[in-house]
Amino acid sequence: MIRTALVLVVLVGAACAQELDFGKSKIDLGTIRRLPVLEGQRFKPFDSMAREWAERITGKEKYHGIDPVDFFLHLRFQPELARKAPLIRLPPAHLAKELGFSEISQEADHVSWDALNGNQAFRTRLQEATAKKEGARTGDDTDILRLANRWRTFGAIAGLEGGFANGAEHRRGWMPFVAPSEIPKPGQIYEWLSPVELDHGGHPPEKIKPIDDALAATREAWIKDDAAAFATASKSLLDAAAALGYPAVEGFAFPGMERMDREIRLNLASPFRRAMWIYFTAFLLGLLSTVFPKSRILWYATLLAALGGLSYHAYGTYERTLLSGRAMIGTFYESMLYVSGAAALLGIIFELIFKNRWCNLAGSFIAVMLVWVAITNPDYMQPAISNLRPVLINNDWIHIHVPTIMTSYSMLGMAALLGELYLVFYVFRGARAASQQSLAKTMFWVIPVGSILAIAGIILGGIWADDSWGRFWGWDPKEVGALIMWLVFMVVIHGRWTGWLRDFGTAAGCVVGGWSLIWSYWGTNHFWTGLHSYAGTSNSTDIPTWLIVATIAQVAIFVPAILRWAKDRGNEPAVVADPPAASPPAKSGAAKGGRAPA
Amino acid sequence: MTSMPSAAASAPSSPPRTDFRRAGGLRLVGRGEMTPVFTLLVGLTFFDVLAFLAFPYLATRHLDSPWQDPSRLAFLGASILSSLVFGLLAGVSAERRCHDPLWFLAGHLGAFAAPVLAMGGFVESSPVLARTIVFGLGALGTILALAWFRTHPRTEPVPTGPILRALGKFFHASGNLWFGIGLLVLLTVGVFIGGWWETYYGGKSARYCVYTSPAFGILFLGFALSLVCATLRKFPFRVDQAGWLTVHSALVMMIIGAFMSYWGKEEGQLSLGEGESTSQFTLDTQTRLRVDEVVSGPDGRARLELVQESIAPFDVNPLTTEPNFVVPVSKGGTKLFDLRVERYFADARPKSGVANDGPRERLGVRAEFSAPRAPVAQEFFVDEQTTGQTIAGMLDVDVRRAPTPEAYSALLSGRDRQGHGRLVVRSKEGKVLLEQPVLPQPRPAGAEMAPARLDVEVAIPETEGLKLLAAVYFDNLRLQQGMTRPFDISPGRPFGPAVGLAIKGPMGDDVRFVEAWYPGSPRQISQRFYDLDIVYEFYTVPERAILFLPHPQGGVTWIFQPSGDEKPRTGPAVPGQELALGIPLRIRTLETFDRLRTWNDFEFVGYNPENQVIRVGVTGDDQPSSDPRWLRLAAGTQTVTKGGRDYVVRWQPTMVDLGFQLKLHDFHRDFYPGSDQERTFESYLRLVHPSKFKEGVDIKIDMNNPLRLDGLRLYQSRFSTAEGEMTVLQVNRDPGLGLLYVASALLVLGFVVVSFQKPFLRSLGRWLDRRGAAPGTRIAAALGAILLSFAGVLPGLLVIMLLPPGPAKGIGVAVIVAGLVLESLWVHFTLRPRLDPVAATPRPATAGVGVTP
Repeated sequence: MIRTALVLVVLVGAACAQELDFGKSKIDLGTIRRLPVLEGQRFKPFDSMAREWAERITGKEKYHGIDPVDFFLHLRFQPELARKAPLIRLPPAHLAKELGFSEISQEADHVSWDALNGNQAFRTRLQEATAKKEGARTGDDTDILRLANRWRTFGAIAGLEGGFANGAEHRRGWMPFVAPSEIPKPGQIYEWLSPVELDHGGHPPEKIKPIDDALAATREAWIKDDAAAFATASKSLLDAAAALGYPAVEGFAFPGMERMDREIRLNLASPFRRAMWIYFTAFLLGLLSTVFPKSRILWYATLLAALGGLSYHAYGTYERTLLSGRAMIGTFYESMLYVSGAAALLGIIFELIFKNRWCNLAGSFIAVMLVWVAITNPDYMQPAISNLRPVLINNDWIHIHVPTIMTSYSMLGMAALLGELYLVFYVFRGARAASQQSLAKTMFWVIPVGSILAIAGIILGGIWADDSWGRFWGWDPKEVGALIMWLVFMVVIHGRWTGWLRDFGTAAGCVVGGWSLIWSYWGTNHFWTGLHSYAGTSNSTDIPTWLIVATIAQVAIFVPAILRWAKDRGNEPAVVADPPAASPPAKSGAAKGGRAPA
Repeated sequence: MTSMPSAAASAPSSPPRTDFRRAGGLRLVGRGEMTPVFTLLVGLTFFDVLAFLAFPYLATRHLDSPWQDPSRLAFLGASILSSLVFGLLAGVSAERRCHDPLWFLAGHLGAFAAPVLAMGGFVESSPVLARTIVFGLGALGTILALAWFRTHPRTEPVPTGPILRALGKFFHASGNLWFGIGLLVLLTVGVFIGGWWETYYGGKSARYCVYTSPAFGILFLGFALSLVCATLRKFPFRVDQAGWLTVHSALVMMIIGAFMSYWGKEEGQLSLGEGESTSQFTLDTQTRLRVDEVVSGPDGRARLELVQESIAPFDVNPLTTEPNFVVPVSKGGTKLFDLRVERYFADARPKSGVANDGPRERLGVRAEFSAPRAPVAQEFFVDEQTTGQTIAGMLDVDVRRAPTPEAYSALLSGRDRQGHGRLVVRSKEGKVLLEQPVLPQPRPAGAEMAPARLDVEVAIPETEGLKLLAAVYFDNLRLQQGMTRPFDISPGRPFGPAVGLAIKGPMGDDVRFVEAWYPGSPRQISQRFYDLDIVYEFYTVPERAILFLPHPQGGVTWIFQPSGDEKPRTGPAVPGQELALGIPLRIRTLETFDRLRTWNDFEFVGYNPENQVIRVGVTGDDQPSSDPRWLRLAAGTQTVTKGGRDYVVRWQPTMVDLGFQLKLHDFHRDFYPGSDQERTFESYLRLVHPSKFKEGVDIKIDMNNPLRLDGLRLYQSRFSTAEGEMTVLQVNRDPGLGLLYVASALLVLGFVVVSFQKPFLRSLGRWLDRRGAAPGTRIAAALGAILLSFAGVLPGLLVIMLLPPGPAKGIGVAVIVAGLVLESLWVHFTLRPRLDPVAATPRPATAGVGVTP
């Protein structure tokens, strides 16, 4: 029912698409999901490809709740209807307005392929953006290029344009599942063919015919909404494709149907999304448990929830690592998931050590935020499992340097968040409250650990750079960013050791350190391209909205805290002289906080 | 720092014999003051480094002085180090025996001798002797000092002089943590500025203007001073300061390593084609201006003889692109001329301009057009010597010159619009003998690429029976090697019209191809047997085209040839006026040129050193050039004439000797399966080294296997296929790297110790106190504690080394962290209570304020 209702929403949006029916609940997509394709230099099930492109085109994992495979097949088999429906996500509002789309409908953030295709402003803008050098493109140019990518891919999938629009109706469109009979020569890209190119794969006609027939039958069954016929036809399509055989390039062979099924399982489970919601629950519970500091049940519940999220996270990481054949640290998306997972894990570990209810709260908050950012920005983050540049995979340093620096990010991020929590509660509780003191102590235990990992990561990065580029330190923006972060935390550590910074000062220092961390992790990519470019961003001076929101929130936290600090000045507890491990943390937490459940 | 006294001041071993206190044999001075020996150590270190290394290096930065030679710098560095060690030995001995710590200078003699030896050229001629002298002087001074102490015993210490005391106070203050924090903040800000600088002005500029700028140098020297003083003022050292001392000495080592890199680093490239060999590489960081004289050799052929070569001392400075640096060029003491580097663009784009002062007649038109719906008018430029262009996607524009007045009027009237021109036969004197229109016949079906037939044979008047046979016509003649017959590459589109003809006469047939007379191209005159000048005048106007042509009486005329049978329009092209075309497209003439001269210039693009150019001005040139003289790096020359001789000026990267010879046998690349990404580039080379591989050895350099030889590292960097397969190796030498690696390891370990083992070390210190351990034992204990932390890292390192390549290596990192955690926990909960049962129990919550560790 819900599905039908959601479909109605789509239909209302598209005046011309009354017949486009996404409610084909009778048809079982289970078989066609498994169809192996070779796309983006990776063997994957059709399900993954559909998911990836449906998400890129619509900007949502499930646009109006539509199964991505369903979405893809609609594009492919009913292009005449799909082209008129508003399915392509528009760029940010000001750009959409510039292209004249806001005049059509104020609310709609999606546009139909036809409308985009006929938009002269879009074409002009696209030409301009393409003509520019890579370094000279603005954020708007990048958005236009992304829109163009959605538009082109839509056209390719639906078989509306170019080479994919040729041939019989059932043969059109982009769907590379036909393995050619010959393997490529060294230096040539191994590609599978779409049905359009069926005759050029070097296969005898008797092998092509079953595919052709099965494809036609699948299409027909789809259009007629005949579940039984679709099941038979998609099964025979799978068999016919398999009958062509998978010629193996040495070192690049089809991994078998088991892997396809495994990937589909991972796709359907969407562990990171679920983990995010569980982390969010843990965060809410954690907040509650700080409000009711005596409740043991809440403490255990928080811990359990965080563990639950972490186990989903771990499952996803394990499966993804297995499927991609490399550690999950290669792309910006993966690194964000790594940092969030590490933060959640460290939150749990520190919570078990300090038992002060802050660590888990901070850890799950970082986890929620980062996973949310990672999975809701498909354009920027590119969540699909992708091949890394081989130069990177076959280098051991990536597996040593990246985890170290990423763990330091999550550690120092945690220190920063503990600092924020300290400032927030400082307004209400002041510096002398036991909970505040325990928070400060935890914070100052986390900083050196994070700093050690940070400097170790920076040095390991230097060794890697020396190994592959022949220089240890080249004042590259990314290196400089990490160095700034480390220096800020060094100032905090030294300030603390002189007694110059007390608890409040240390917390404020950690918050500043947190901003330097954001700078190192994201800002250097976004603003400091210089000679090098990283992680698919362009040289940009755009200030994103979240940064403005975060800055305002930061000021809102800082101002009352400083006001209270000015009032309480001189009434702060003295600094504990020793570095963190002065006394065993577990015992001191119990002694000081006094609200450990154990 | 060989002797590291480390007894606790409060050691309850034996009561002091006199009223002054000692620690580790050294007299303790008042609060806020550094021990005199250490004051001398710090002061002399900075004096030596500044006076013998930094200042001479900076003073000779733009010269080919031996002070720029890494081997001389290394000698000086080693001399300073050995002299400081001997000085410290002498100074500490003096203090211990109640003598003046200024005996430090006796051991330090070698450092003062080193620059003298260097200036005398001993370092280059006999390096071993020079080092022996320096070392010997230090040893001799120390031995003499020790002998003096034996014969002149003292019981009371010499009071510290006022200068030494003041210095001691200054250095003590320099070790202040506030100073350190201030420097940290300054460094953070500086590095942040550098990041922005790099974004705007590129990495090269950021390195030149920020990271290796004098300000940064002073900042780092300040850091070194702060760290060294902070370390030494902690004397007498305690066991629990082991981690602290390790971290801060590691940082000092890093700074020393950074300065060693700054003074001795060489980065460059080496390009080799297959079969080529080289023994030099080009530096990335230094360029030279080179002037050669053109002389004629013994065989009469011209060759170049070096006159002068000098370092070009400018770099990417975004504040100015005008270095205005003057290089006087002289030969044998006589000054020839001055080169002034007027501009330096790190990345420049060729830019051309036009002027109306050319030496010959050449027509050019600058105009603009605006299409009906285009908001902005666009400019275009056409001239006689370049081919025309299409504007607004529909209209061809070109400039032509009619060879004769008749041709001009024919063009103007559009008479030959659909025709194919005519052949004009002139006598040797220039008299027109025959004009024959070219009228090709339709081509037979199936032979589109064959020429169209003309089949015209006419007698040439006023000759002795010569006949012109115009046989075939080509729209676009192509004579291809290996093909017996010429063919028509683009039938129907006259892009290169030509006529195949023969002149028949008594001496046989003169067969030739006459290509169309074309604006800008030299006339096709071929004389084989008969003295006749045949020109194929082809001046048809293509449909929908505008031609500009010079009017025989001066000025410029335009012709617009519309499509269909409409009559062509024409009129004068007057600057500022629109052409009356009668179509929606509007064209306005902006400028016309009759003696067009194009000039080439460069315009500034950016600060990334990609296409580097300089502009040099010459004062004293006998034939001054009116054009700006541009020189691209490693490409192009400028010639200067002086006193009847020619001099060639070039701008090149500095070449450095490898010290061995490399010859590229083969270059090979390999791809990842099923992709177009290279897996490896491999260069197979033959290496001949004068001492190590005299016979030569075959080696392979690929992406994972650099060649390491004589402190140089050669990496496979990229390849180029521009002129045959060519491998590009990246060459570098970094003398500071070894120290940097050691310092990095110490830094991380020390950080672990200082953060997590402080209480344990304190307990260890108390345990040693109770047993009255000797200083040596204390040092050993402190080192043991650091090694213990290293032991925590070892399993992880082993895991990394043993595991197969790939994601599994990440496990090693986790094992390292786990090892450190376990080690810390073991130290705290097992070892510490055993050493110090009382202190291991938790302390009460109240603690002292701001005790510096």
